[in-house]
Amino acid sequence: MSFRQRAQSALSDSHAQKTFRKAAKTFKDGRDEAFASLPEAEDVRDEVAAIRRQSLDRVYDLLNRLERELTARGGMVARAATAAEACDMVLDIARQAGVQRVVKGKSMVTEEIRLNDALIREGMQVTETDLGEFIIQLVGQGPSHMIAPAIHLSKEQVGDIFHEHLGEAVETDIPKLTRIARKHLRQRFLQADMGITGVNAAIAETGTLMLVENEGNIRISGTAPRVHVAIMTMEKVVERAEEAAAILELLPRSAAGQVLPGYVSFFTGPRRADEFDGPQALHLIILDNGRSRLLNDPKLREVLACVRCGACLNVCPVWSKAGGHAYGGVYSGPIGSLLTPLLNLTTDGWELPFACTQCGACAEVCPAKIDHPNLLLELRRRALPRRPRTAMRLFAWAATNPALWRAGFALMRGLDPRLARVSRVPGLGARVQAWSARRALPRLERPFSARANTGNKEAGNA
Amino acid sequence: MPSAMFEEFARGLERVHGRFVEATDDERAREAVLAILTEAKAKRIALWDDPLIKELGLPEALKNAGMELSLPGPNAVKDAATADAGLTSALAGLRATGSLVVHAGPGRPRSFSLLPPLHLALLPGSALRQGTRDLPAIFRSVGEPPSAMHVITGPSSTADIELIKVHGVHGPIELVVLGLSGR
Repeated sequence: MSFRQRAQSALSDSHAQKTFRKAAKTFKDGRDEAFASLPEAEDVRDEVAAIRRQSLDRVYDLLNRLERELTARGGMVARAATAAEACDMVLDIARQAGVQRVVKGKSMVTEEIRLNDALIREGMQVTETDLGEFIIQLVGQGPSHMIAPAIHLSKEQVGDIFHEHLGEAVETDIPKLTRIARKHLRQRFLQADMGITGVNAAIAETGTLMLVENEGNIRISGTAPRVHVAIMTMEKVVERAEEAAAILELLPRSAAGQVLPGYVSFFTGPRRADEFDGPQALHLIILDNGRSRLLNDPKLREVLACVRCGACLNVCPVWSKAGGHAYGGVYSGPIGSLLTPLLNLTTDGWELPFACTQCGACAEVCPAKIDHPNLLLELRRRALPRRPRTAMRLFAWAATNPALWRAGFALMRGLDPRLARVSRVPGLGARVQAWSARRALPRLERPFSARANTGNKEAGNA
Repeated sequence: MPSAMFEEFARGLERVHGRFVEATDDERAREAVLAILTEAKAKRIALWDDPLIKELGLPEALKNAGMELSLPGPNAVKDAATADAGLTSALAGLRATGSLVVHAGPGRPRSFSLLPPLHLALLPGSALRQGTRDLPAIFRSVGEPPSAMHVITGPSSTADIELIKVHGVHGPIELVVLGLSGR
């Protein structure tokens, strides 16, 4: 299936349309409100944008320091060049520690490397513990939103899923559904041998991993099981705690409209000898998976400044109609249209940069000031063949010759002012009809310039 | 009504569905702790082995009130998971958001502020700081970085079903902060 087909099926699903609209609005309003409580927000965006870019400029030095500092405090650090290598590393750790049961905190990177599949193939029990992830794992679906992965499901659907997969009585009350999940997951947490989480930022100077969440599942994953494996993508490292704090000013505000999320955890190594809980072993796996290649691309490396807040999704007119699943990969929305092709995460990722209206809303909200629209244009340039198609070359020729353009329109105005006949021309007609199936064709009775001059806003001429 | 010292903190905490109680001296603090735990019908209390908790005489007071105490030990996680309440102190509080900062260490298991359905934390007025940008200084104030430091803002929560906010998911369902204005 292509993006177009997946988007088409989302567009014809009225429930999905309703939830996408609600998600986009709720998150966008929340973000605006949270930013209102930070009068100097624009300065902080500049600060975070600079921190992210400066960290990328010396990412290898910072990773070396992170590794040194964390190792000195009892952590174990490994670097994975590919997704497969990262999965193998986790499997090795699990085998050596005799792990049977795994609990996971929500993490985009583990989705990127398809870690669950690898662990399950090895015969391990893997439980997603973020409520949304838990729900979609029960029915074998992927996340539809970066921070609200089960947003496409209604409470009735969740009640049915809990009834069918957990043997619970049918329930539609949201707080009660949440308690049911708490009860089931609490058992899984206490039985687990290994907890797996992502990392929101790593502080090189002390070897500290910063993780944000609301539910407490990440804290438990890093507290109860005897082994904690944290997986981070290489670009998440900063040098100092102050830089992590600057990112923390904007990340929860941008992600969920919160000044601070429920929990921010700073993990520095496993439990110490004189402590009674926390993991006995802490492993950090640093994943490359195409990122150092991207770092060498001066035009596009800025994509790696992303802090994964998901704000660009919520303001995107394409995402809010097509939904996350249409993008075919783990990352959706404007950032997904960049990361998916650049990291070769799906086979058809190169069509995604074309699913963009160039409205620029994403760049306006991005806490790291990533210029998504222009980066997407660059990707389009690289995706297209050197010579544009004949029809486009003809159009470009006409559009850059005003006399020719006017003459062409005058001719069309005489022959087919409502573009009714052109739809019946063999060959061309089918294309025009496909294009106009969801759009109003322009009407040529009066030139646009004449209409624009009189300020006439006729319907159907948009 | 909270005193001026705790006013902003209390407002921040209540905004995220936490509860704020204030005690002006140690005697009142002891009474407040007992009242909060009794009201919550808490019988088993997992409490930190911590100078502040000891100075307030809380272990004896809770025992005398007939509560069963779990002190930090090799079964900390199991004890916390079966306790009705976790009682901890705090390294710092953030006024802007009503946040608590706790850090793991000997006598301070991570799970006591995490697994019981009620988390009751003692916050001295002298531990108040302003906001997110103070976190690096708080982190450094303990010297060698702790194995875990957590910034806690309200009880655990989710909005994963239909974006409806629910308090009490995996972590505490209820969070009460007892502000100690005399300390």
